[in-house]
Amino acid sequence: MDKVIGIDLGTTNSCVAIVENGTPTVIPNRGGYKTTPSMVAITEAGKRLVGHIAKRQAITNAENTVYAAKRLIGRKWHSPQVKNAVATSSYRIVQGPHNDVRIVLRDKEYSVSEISAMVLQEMKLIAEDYLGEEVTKAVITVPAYFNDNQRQATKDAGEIAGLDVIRIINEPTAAALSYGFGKNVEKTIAVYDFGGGTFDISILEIGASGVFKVIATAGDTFLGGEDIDARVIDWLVQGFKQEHAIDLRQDRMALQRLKDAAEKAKCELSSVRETEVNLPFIISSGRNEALHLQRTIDRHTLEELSADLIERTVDICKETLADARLSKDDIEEVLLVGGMTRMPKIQQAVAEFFEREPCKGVHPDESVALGAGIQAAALLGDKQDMVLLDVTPHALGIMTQGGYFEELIPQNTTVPTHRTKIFTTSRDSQTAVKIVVMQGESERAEENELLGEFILTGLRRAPKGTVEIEVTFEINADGIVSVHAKDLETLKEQSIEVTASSGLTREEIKNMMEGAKDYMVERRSSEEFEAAKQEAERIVNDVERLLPQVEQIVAASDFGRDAIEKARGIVAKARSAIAKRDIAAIKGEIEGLARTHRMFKGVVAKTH
Amino acid sequence: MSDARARTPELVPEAAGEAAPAAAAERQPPEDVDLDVEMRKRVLETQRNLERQDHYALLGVDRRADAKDIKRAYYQLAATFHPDRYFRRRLGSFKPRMEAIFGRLTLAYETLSDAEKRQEYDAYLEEQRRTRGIEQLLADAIAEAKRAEESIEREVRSQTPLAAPAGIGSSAPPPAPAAPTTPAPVVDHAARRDALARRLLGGRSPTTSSAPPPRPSLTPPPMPTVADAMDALRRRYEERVERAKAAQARKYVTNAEAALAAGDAVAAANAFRVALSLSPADPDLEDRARSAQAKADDVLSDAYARQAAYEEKTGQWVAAARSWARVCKARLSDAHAHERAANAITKAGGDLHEASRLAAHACALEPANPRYRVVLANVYLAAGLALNARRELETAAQLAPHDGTIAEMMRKVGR
Repeated sequence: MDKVIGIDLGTTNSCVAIVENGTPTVIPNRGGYKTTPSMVAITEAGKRLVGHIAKRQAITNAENTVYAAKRLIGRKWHSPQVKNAVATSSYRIVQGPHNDVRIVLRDKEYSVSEISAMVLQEMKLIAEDYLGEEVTKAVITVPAYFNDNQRQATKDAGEIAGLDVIRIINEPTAAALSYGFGKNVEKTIAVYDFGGGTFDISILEIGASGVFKVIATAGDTFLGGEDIDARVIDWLVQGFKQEHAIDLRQDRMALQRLKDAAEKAKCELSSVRETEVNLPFIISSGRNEALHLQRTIDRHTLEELSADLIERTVDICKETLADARLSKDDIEEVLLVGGMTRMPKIQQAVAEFFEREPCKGVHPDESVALGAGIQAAALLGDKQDMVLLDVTPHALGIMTQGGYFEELIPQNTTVPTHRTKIFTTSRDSQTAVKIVVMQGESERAEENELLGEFILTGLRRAPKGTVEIEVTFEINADGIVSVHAKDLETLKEQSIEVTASSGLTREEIKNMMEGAKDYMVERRSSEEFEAAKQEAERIVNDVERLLPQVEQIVAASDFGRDAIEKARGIVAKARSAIAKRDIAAIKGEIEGLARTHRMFKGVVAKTH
Repeated sequence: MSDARARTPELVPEAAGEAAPAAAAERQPPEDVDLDVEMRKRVLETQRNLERQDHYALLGVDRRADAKDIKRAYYQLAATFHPDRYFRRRLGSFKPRMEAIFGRLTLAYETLSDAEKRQEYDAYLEEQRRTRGIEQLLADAIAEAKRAEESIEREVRSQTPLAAPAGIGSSAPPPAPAAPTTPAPVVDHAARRDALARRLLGGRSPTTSSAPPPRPSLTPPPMPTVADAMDALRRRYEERVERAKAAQARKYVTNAEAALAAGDAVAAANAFRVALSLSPADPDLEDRARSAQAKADDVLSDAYARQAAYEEKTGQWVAAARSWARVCKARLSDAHAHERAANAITKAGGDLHEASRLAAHACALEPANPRYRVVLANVYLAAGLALNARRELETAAQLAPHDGTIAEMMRKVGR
């Protein structure tokens, strides 16, 4: 059976896991790390870098290194969150077709799904290296509060990366899965997930028969560790401005260094009470004088800077508890997920609100990936002892006359679910009816998220009101919306055209998939090349090391001189093959080199 | 979501009228799906019962089950019918069936696990049971009336020989009539008078309780022909039947009065109905029956109104439209009911002609009520008749110049 992996595609870091012999396990990358930075860069030479290696060169290559793509995925150009990112990111974000977003690296435009696909590809490779076989199926997690566009864009990213995304599941739910796996518990729990870019709170019930039921969920898809970093950066920039009257933001590299330092300081302050930010030569002054940034930041200041953000998360918890019609007493366990939950102030706020100590039994960085792996195994495996009943985080509805939003499926409805509504023509011989589908909580359509305009085409020409089309709005277990229509008179499928929805077209995805496949081939062959090159070079060095000695010993005989000539020839051929990056040639020479090496060794040994 | 439930039969065309197809499905060569026989049977049977069963029956719990039991039952069933159980397996026609079952299970759980919703649902079930009971009583009463009639006729027939008495041949001169024994016409008239008198007096016999002695005819009646004799017999038979029916009717009237006294309008109406069918040419009985029926209608339409309110609340617009229509039938001058009915039909996407008729009726009953105009306007909007809608909204605006909703709607339509 194909192996299926679970991938936590995080804003700052990603993680991949699999269930092996019944045990959920996180797969470490080649460097031994269990998480990989969600960063992508293109070097000057045009080489793609992903993960740790991308992070390491982020400062020097700030303009062409992408981070936090998750904050952009599935969003429209005209949204406030994208505007915010444009203003604060070190890489270029531009407008794409149909209100989409594009990222520019080395003068080439990439869609956000493409960038995320690069990260997913990396995680796929990590798994394949570990398992020693190809991996094509995966479960990918998203924040619970992601809307349909964001989920679809994430699924697209998976597809581009060459993965069959068998399910998209919500991050807090995944964490709950990893918490309840193997335990025979029946509990009502809350999952507080404060990650790099997003915040989610989910209230779940772990019940009998292996059922995990989500009762209510809410969050903020633009509230995370990055925002707290931003506050620290602001504070440092302000301080510097006051001292030197220079705005460090103008310099991309300075900004990147600040970002790095802010993140580091924030993390350190979880274990120490104060730390120093030390950035020498941060920028040059107007008079070509080098300026340095050196400032101490203490935990108290950090807490003050992030107080309102933390409070917002608590407010959302309050609302969600009310939506779930539960009181704090009903919550029997609180799980902390996401790197930010390491911050003492946040742990304190959570404990205070829920009036209980949070559970330390789940790993804040790994539990989501583990949960994804568990769900993956449950879906495709033979043993089905677990069932997930998740909910849709946003209400689904249509736009009606006057710009109002008519709700069809309420928020927090268990999925899969569907609802039908009858549409009819308002003019005689009308041949098309337009339905505008939206997601959100506002009464006014313009405040909600537009999913798409569906046009029922090819309607029978008939007097108005006599053509009745039954439209079914469906939300599947991934939380993704689909629309089907049926003519009630003929009971035939009604054709629907989808227009004006953002995101990639099938055509674009196909092209990007081809590009990703090419990259994979290139990447594999380059790895192969590296391996062959290293081996060849090793033997060449050994041979060359022994050459002077052997020359001395056999210089006397003709046979010896011949052998030396031959040896030199092989070495030269090997070196040229390496220079030409000709894998086949290198491999061909390795045998000859090895023989030569053995012979030389023999000669030297005999004389001693 | 309840609309989805109502619509589900259309999503699965085979579901409508399950009895035959289900058995047929088992007789046909089995579908090639990744489900064992047991599971297939279970899915088919569960789906067959979906519309019929209430939430409790569907979950397999007792009416008095507590929250824990309900949750446990739901989880167990959800684990069985959740589509993920058979992720990417071949399910063929069973896929939509299982999805329908799962959706209904979830609806049942969500209703019963919330204290308020459960209470309302229980009240609704109770209401349904009552109206069903009342309708059943009515059906029973009509059947009973029929039976009573038939049995009376049978009995009288068995007592009354309809064959011509021996001797009354065709042309032979009839024997001299035995005068006292068959003074048929005279006696029957008197008896009828008596019966009528008794009815008019409410079941009490007239002072002269016994039939006046038959006045012997002074002139022998004309020689009865066979046809005459047949006629006479028939008439006798019919009169006996009538008498017997009248007697039965009296019994029912007594029952009806007792019911009225006890305050049970429905039972009274039913009893009167039976009485009236046994004894139709009784204007007084007609009056009483009508008044009792009016009271019973009230009770019934009250019950239907309560049902409709619940159905509206839970978004079951199709059911609500039906319930309100029943109320309207019984209460023609109830403007509120008509407006509600029109509103429900509009929401259910039903017959907009009917909706506009009902809404217009409401407006006619209470011309000064702006809310009714708004409902009518909504019907017109749904039907795409913007001009008509605007006209109604203008009237509404005149009646309620400070109403923000009406102003909003006018802005919408004015576009």
